[in-house]
Amino acid sequence: MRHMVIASHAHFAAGISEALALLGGGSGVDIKVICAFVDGNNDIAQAVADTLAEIPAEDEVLVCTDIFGGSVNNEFTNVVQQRGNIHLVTNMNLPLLISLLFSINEPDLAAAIRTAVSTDEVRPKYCNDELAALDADDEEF
Amino acid sequence: MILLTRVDHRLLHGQVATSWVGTLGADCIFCVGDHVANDPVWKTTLKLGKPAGCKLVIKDMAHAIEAINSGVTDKYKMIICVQTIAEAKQLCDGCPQIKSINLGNTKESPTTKTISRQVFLEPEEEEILRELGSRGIEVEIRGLAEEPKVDALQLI
Repeated sequence: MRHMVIASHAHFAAGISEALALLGGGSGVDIKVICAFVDGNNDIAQAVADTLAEIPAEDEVLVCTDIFGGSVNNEFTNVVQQRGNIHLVTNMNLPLLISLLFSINEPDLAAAIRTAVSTDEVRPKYCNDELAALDADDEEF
Repeated sequence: MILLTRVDHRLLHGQVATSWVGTLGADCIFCVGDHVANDPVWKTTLKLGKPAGCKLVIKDMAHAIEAINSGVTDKYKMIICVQTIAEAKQLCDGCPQIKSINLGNTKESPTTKTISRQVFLEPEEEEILRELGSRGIEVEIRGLAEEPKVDALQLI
């Protein structure tokens, strides 16, 4: 079985998880959320350990964190070196999470993650430029 | 092939672009309605936000019925979006091959009855749904593709 962990500074992880459920669903996937440094949740190492303790060691875990180099991702970087079966992705955003959620049951999860993080859809976009480049013609059948 | 005919007052948006297109493997979204077809700003916004790898066609009701009945849409794995239940009925009237309507999002107003988290019905819309049901057309409620179908006719 595969699991997702969504972790961030403050309530970003909880909020983006709610948005993910609204848009992508994921009711059949075990998604755990860590909101660090709020609500008295100041020990990130303990929070990560507690969350991973709920997941059998033989199960694959896809962890998504908020920012590369931040303490949440740094803690998971420690863990990924010591525990197998963890895939760590950072700089998460909503399109990336949707893409990963739809890929969670791919046989080769690592390959699916490489594809998901490298697609154009998950990059920030400057919509003014996108509008300027849009084809004015209507599509037809 | 028509994979889904959905009533959604926002037409193409996040739930459709992600959950429905992804789960059904659609390659074409057909937004149908006289309102959207004559609203260039909305059309541009929909075109900008369409999912990658998907065609987006926008037509008014009369031209949409003509296109579907002509067979030009047959080769696409298509999701049709209309804004209202009345438009869904117009489409069913014009295209008898449509045998199922998905209720996604309808607008809430002081006179609507709530039948699900995202679906609100005016009294005249309940009448339309009863009529569609009596013609053997399935009317089901699902916000996202993974949710189980809920029979709207049991809730009115």
